[in-house]
Amino acid sequence: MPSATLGETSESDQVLAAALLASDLVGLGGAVITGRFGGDSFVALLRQMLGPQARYQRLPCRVPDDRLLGGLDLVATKAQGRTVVEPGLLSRTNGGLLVLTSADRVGASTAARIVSAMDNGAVHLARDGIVATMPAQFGLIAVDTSDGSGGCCPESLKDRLAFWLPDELTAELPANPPLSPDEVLTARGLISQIEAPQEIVEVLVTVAVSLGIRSLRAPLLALRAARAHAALCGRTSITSQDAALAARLVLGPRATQIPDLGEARSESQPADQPSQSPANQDAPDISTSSQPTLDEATEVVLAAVKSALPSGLLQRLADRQRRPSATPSKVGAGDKRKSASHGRQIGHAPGRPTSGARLDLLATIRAAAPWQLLRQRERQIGLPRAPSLGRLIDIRPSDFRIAKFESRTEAVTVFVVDASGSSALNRLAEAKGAVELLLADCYVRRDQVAMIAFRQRAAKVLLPPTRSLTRARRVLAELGGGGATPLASGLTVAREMVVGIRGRGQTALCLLLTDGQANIDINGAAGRSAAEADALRAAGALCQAAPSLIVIDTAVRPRPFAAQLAGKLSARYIVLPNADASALSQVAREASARGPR
Amino acid sequence: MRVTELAICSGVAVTGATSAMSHTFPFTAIVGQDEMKRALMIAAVDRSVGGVLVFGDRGTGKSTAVRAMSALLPPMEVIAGCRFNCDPSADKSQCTPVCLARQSGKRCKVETVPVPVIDMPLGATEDRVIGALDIERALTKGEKAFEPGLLARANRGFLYIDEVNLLEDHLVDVLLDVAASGENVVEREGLSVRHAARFVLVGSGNPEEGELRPQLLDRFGLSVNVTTPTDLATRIEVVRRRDKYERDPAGFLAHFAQSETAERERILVAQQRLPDIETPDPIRELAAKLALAVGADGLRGEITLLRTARALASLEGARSVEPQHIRLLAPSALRHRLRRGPLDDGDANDRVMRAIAEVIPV
Repeated sequence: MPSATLGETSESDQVLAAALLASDLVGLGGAVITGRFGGDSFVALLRQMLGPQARYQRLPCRVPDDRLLGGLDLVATKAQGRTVVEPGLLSRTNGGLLVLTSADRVGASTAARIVSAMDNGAVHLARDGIVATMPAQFGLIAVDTSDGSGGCCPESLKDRLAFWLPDELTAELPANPPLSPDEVLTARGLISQIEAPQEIVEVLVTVAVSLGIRSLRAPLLALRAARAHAALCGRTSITSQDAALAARLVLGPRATQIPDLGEARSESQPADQPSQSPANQDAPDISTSSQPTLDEATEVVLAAVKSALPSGLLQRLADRQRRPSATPSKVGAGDKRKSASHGRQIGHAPGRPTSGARLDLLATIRAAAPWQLLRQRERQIGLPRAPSLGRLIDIRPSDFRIAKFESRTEAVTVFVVDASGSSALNRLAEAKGAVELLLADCYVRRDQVAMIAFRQRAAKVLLPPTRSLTRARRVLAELGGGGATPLASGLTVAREMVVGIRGRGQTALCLLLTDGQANIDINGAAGRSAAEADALRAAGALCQAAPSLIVIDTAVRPRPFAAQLAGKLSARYIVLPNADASALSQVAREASARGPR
Repeated sequence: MRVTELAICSGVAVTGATSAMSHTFPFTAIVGQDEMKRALMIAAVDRSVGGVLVFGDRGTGKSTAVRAMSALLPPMEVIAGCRFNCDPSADKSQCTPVCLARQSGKRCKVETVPVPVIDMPLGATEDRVIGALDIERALTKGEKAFEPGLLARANRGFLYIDEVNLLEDHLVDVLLDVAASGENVVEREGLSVRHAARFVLVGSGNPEEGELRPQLLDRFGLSVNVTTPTDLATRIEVVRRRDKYERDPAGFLAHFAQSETAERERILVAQQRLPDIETPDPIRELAAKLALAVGADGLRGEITLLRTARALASLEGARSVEPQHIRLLAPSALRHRLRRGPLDDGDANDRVMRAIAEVIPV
């Protein structure tokens, strides 16, 4: 019989998650493990429970399609005289465990292929002269080793994996699995017979909504986790205990808002009001309007989730959501300066009032309020209790709420446009089109824009930082082309502007569109070599001013100088030999979406 | 067969998903998402409406709905053994010369088959999409034979591309070519083949993962936005049904068998009635006014709007197209064809909605 003690506090969440995964590997999808240790011990534990025969593959993040999906086995095909398919990693791991190392660096296309196999339970192969469908049902452990600064595991993948585990604890997992492979098999046999009472479904969905989780896969995965736990405990029906545990493990890490748990509602939850910060608009909006009325069962489960939310987790999640992601519409918005002590308060999170963090007293009292009666009773019957800090109101460390502040800086996108003859002949119209499209993006983000054009003898500020898109557009339309290329002057003017922008506490993103054919030096004299030397010097100075920089090379045949220039600027360098306006703006968007370097 | 084999040798019993794999979630069991269901039903009734694009949030059942729709399609007649799904009632001269079925000279047999809904998987290579030299026969017999690709298999049916926004550019080009001409021209590896490839393009994707090229966007007749339901009762029902289905697919399907049959019947009747549906002049005017008011690019939006409205009228048992049909379909028919300036702040959807409110007063 599977151990009945499973689920009590003696097991860490990681061990529990591994046990549940082992019992319903394919159904639960798998886990995301975040951190530097690489989740090796978690994988080892899981494999111990799955037994030695279970298939296991490591999946490198840069895997070509023929290895991932499958392809033609040329040698065998030739030897046997018939088409022989060589299955890819996904179908070779059918029924087993796939470990995606460096999930943070996996490309969108690879992620989409994995996701598609997970959804279909099979790989549809249509390549190398083969059309085949091969079963591919696997559990996936995505190891996200990013420190949060670069990308993170693709959302489409994360959405399908039940458990999101930090690795701080996975490094110290016990060597002995809590379940033997036989016990796992027993539990698997039971799973399909376990009933899910209607109220359990309702509780899990309601809790997911209260935590601000949009995706419907989350409550479904939680339901599966609850069922797996019921199976491990030898039950025939899911109980609220199973649901509480599943909610804690599956829904807790996905939380994007602090649930209103009988606390004073609505007021003083500024983080939920989308109007407060434009970048927040993409955050789930299912909260306030449809805040469900919670019944007792839901409150119990919600309390379980809430108590397990590690301090700062919500804030981290909120940060992750607000950080410019791969979503093109959220390009290069101003750096969000997260500071512990100043700026506008945007909400509160559980935490300790250590130095630098400011206690949100009102929120702390609200957090403590619902428990007063219980705590009083506890005191009366003399139960051992956590240290209390007050007499009138019994406040415990878990009640502490730390104020979250955000001072959002404005972003200014500076377009530095080469309008010289060489550029104009090539691409000025396209560059203009791209700038127009990017302007639209800036408008959506309420960013400011500025424009500098350089041609003939010197650069000119066509448009100082402004929010008026209409002006920007008119200036752009009037911009004529022709003449020599005073690149150095363009960069110098850009630097002056960037210094001013930063002085005002704004962030700057510079987009330099040029073909790099500098031929006018800083003093306005003609001469290629002097012009190039001056341009590099000006680039060094601009780089010192430290804006985010993107160099878009609009030359038909890019010259090495442009790349050298980009290197000097430590800028992203993008060559667009045959692009139209929309492709140009797309690239710039993507490049800037990766955030400041 | 293969699944069980693998399951045994790996010591892993694969439950739930396996049994669900061979089944399709019933269309009528999908909760909410009316706009998406309506668009798919219309495409099922009238193939000439030009495809459906379903764009939206994760986990909203986009691909589930498309696969579910395929189970509702009334079967069609093809020439037995034809690899291009040729229509027996069509003119023989339109048939492709590489079709082996008609080459034999004998009178061809007709067979009734389900309408193909062909998946274009990510990572598909060009050779398998447009067709190519039959490698096996080339390697073993040294013959130069054409092996039809996905486009041939999708002829007279549906071509479904999940994550259509992640499709490689060269495949998008192929699709655009074929969708425009209804013919697939293969010139490669010493082959020179052309065959009919008329299909309804159905795409789905999540806009957060990438945008769609405007040319491809324009190819879709209807574009549907799906969002996660925010209503608690709906969410509970979605989760409940999904869970029931995953645990006991057969039982779940049996439960919905009756409504599925009714829906299939509705499509069949609508197909038969379609030629008799009238489009009064005021309706045409309405569609034109709407397209003008939103500033739609080209005439395709207007044409699609009228066509889809006819299909909808047929589905709803109306004798002629009514303003309400236009109102219901205008967002899906027009929102992806708006001319976009850099100063357009608003959502395309809002623009269409405003125009509808202006043109068709309630």
